Amino acid sequence: MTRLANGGVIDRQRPLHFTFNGKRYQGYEGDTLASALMANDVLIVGRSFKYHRPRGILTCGPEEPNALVQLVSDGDQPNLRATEVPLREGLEARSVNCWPSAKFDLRAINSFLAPLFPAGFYYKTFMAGRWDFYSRFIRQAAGLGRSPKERDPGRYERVNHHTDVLVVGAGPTGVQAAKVLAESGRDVMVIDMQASPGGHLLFHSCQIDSQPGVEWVSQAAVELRDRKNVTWLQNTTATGYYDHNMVIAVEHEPAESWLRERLWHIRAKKVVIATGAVERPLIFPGNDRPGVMLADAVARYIQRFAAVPGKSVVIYTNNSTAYAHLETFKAAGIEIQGVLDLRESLSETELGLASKSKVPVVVNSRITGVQGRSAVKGVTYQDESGIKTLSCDLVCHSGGWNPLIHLYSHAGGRSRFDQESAAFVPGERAQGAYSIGGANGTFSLGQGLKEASEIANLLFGEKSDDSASSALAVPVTEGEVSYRIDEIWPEKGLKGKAFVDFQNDVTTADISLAVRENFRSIEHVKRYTTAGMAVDQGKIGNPNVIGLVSRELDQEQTSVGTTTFRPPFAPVSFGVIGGNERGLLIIPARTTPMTDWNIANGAAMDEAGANFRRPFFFPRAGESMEDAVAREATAVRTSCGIYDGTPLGTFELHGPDTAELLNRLYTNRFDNLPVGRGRFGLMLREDGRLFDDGVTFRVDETRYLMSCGTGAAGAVYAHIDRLLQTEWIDLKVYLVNVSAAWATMCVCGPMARKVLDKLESDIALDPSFRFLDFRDGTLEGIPVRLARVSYTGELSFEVNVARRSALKLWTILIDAGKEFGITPVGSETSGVLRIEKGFISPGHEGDNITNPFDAGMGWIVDMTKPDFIGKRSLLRDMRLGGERQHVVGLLPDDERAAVADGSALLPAQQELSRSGFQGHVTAACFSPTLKRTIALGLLKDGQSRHGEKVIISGLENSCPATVSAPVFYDPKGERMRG
Amino acid sequence: MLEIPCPWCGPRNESEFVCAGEADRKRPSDPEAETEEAWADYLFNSTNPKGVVREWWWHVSGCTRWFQIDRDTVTHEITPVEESSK
Amino acid sequence: MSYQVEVSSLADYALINLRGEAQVITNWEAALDVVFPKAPHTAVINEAFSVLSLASDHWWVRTALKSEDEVFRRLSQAVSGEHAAVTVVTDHFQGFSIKGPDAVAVLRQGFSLDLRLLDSGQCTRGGFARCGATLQVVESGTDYELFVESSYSKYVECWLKVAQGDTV
Repeated sequence: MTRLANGGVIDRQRPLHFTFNGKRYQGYEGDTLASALMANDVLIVGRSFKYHRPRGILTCGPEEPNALVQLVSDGDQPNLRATEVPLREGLEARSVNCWPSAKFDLRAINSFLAPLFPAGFYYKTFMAGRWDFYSRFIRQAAGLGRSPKERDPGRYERVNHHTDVLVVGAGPTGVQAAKVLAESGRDVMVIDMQASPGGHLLFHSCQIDSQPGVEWVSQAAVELRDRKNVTWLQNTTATGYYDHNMVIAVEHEPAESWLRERLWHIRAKKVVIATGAVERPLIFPGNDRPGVMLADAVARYIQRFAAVPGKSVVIYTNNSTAYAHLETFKAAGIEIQGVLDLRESLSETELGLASKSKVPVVVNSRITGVQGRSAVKGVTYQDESGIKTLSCDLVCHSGGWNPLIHLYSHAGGRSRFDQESAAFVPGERAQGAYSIGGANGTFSLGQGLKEASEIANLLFGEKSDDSASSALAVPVTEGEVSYRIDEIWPEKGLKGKAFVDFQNDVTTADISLAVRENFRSIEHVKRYTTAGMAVDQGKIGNPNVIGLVSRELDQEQTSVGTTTFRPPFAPVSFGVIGGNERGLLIIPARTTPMTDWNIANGAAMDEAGANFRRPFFFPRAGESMEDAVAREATAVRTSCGIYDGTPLGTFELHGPDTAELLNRLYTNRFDNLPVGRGRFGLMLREDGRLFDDGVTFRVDETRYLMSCGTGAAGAVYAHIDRLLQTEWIDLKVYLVNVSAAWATMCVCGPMARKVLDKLESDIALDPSFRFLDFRDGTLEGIPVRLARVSYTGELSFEVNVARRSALKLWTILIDAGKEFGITPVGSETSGVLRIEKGFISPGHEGDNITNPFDAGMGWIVDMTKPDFIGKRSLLRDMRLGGERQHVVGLLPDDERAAVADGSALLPAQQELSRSGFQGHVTAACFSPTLKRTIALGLLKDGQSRHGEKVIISGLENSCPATVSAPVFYDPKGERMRG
Repeated sequence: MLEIPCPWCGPRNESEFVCAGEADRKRPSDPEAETEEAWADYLFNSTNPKGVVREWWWHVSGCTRWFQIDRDTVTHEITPVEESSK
Repeated sequence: MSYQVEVSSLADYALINLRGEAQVITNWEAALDVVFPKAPHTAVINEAFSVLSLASDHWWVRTALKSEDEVFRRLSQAVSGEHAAVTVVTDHFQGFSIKGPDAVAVLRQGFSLDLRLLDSGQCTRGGFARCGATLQVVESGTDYELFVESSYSKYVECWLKVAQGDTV
């Protein structure tokens, strides 16, 4: 076990037990899974994606490409970075992408077949032949992790937050910026990815204002968190920067114990990006072997976790970073075999650090190979005098630093290549995104703090005055090694596999091949080689890919440019995206006052549009759906049915110009509708197609009540409101939605009047109460509006009642109707009754082509009106003429044929002159009244073809049918008017 | 998620609104006087410029007002339109 | 474990919806003897009722359920013959009270609007939990009243439970 006896922030009094790939280990409170594995000498943590090479931990942060794990103990979460998983008692994790085990992976055979898997392998190989044949094999091997099988036990929350300034990153520069901004009185929100503030100072020692840097940061953080205008979040990762300065962040393990994660939608006026930088690997053969790690990461494991990944190290670098860590390594008992530096010369500071630590440095040297397959045994390197070897069990390399420009780039900001720091840094700005410190390519702590101190000026153009408080003074730093880098690329045609993108197994050879094959745009190289994709999103590899491409193309890195960074910066769980929108809350379900009664009385429920669910039918014990529908329909036709029509849309229209508005909205006239009467109206869209229909009542001179279809209610409201506010602003009409204020219950059937007669009422139900009249009054003392409206073709009373009294009245009606066999009716039965009557439903017979003439509704279109919505387009239809599809009835020869909605209508055998598809079935059912199958359909030239034969062709069967008029029952409508 | 400046309610998330298309598309006052081409153009065509477009937005979840804004389709920069300049 | 907040359904209220232009407002003001709020998000509250400004030509008068008929009659008579709309919408909406130190922690899960901007006594209408709501601020930060379309009342009841941290 390689854990130092002292040091780090781990709590040695609190040991934690965990399991990795089935083996039990022990770590401490404060560990991450990665640091605990390292302290247990677990070298191999996974397999690479394509070649299944053994891989070890490379980094110490969210940029980790290799150590992806499936967290089995907490709801089976795939593809978590071991570097980000806090250790817990009983934690159980597995490697992803290996089978049967990380140590012995059968698919490692891919590694020996490597020449067969160059960039673009899949594109090239599987072009010939059938993809579905190959895909069976490829899919089995594809993907990282395993999709969880069980329901996610985690709970999630999504919240909205507004702030003046959002600071992303609570490292020293972020904290200093927050201090300055909070001082100015603005609302400031600080979010930070790690468990505690400090950024890289959590891992490295550096003095700020004569105290240890991390203490300076935490002291400042404590003071800031107490302020009313500061919101502070740890364990929170900003995953994307969207339009108008909206940043989305995921908070892991919030203080609220019942939550696993919380998603923040943060709307800021300005965003300070202080996310720092991540270390970049060097490119050399074998750079992916377990035991080859980034230099700064090793220093982090030692300082924060007292975990030491090796005993004997070779350091390989092109920059000054590693020199600052020499003492750390030595203090941890690591023997430093030497520093191999790509550069020709060192700075005096670097030389001084090396000699102080008595470490030999070889300049102008490069590693040509790493010995050892599953553990490092040594390296071969070349310097001016030839090829040599060094033995070691750890290789630390550093290729410089990549500023985390992701958020800046999401915002729409550009990047540019900075020669001096050999890095892509923020360029032209978009939105209110401002990068400072490492994220801005400012790798000096002192310089970063200076940027932070001037943040108010940068964001709001405010100069910091001399008398400002100490928060505005630039903190003084000590102990920094100034950053120097010389970017030196490996020679072309490198021997052995040198990885550029670890997670996607992209090597230098793949990049060269892509460019040789003329993929010149960096975006094309990315897609062809897959470099920079998946979980990793190119955080560590991208600049190397760009560098290699620029070298292959012999172009400047700036002109090659970066690929577009897109959200998310780090993977986001589906759970937190969904938030509470699951289970009972998966849709915002709407109910009526009768919903509970309906369910309690055995209704099978069905979607009814606009998030309503409505009874489909009410099956009794032992009844099939067909039985139930037949019983309900028969009740309506012979005695009495009742159904809940509450989901329909209901609008009040007030104003002296309402009649004129209705005249323009509907195809028929409304200006001559008397008070106390209702009229069925048809609404078209401006293109002349069926939109909605319903009955509108005139309540008094200037007040009307309009009803419309459940699903169309929202669209009808928008349609009318738009016309009133943007087109016909001179019309004096107010539109008020009262849909949910009223419940509607339809008592229908020949006994309907008898049922209502049983109730005490001041409304006379005598014959003077005509079809389409309405009357206000009371039923059993409950105020109601009764209307003679029928959607079933039977004598029918629509009872409208305020929601508060609805359920009471409903049960009164059910009780009163018992002796007449009153039967609750579902939407499937209503559908059957409608088809029997041939009532047009815009949702069925309207197919975005159907006009009212096609639907046989010419009787309701008044072309003599000066204008109405859709009239101009109908004129065009009439002028064009030609063959159109009309609504027809269909009577299958087989009276019990099962006909599916949407079945095609084809010409009958003897009609071969007519070719091809001629229309479709819009609605079909077995009519319990007519004791046969009936259907409505749209048929080419149908109105002139009554009596002809067509073939109804469904997916499962087809049958001949006779075309008829689309009304099967009581064509004169005597029953509903009776 | 755009932030739309509602003239009555102030800035709100795009999700509270319905974008109702280009504001210069006005229903002809006498549709029957329109040629077939002009009518089809009114029904189906939008300018869809790269750059600034004047649009109708409806604050359906708020004050239910219809109002106009100028929106840059490239940068999403939004400029409110004064009521009087409609 | 859950947030410190008490959620309950409101029962004793009546809502009367008013639509009208400047010329009829004075009639209503005279009928109720109150000056109507005219700026966005404002409300006027007295013992008998509160008047909420919802848009430039749109108000709610909220009163006790027992006064519903009487207030409706006064408001209707005040504008008889004028172009205005007075509508009882009590049943169209369901009210909820959300009270406690964590009230905002619950509301911010549903509203995307900036709750910081609303002071005690103010009101607004906005997107809420995919169904929309009218919000009246009783005490900023700790006491709110929320009205949703009553067809969503069961859904919102359940939503509020989950948002509080309870399971359903």
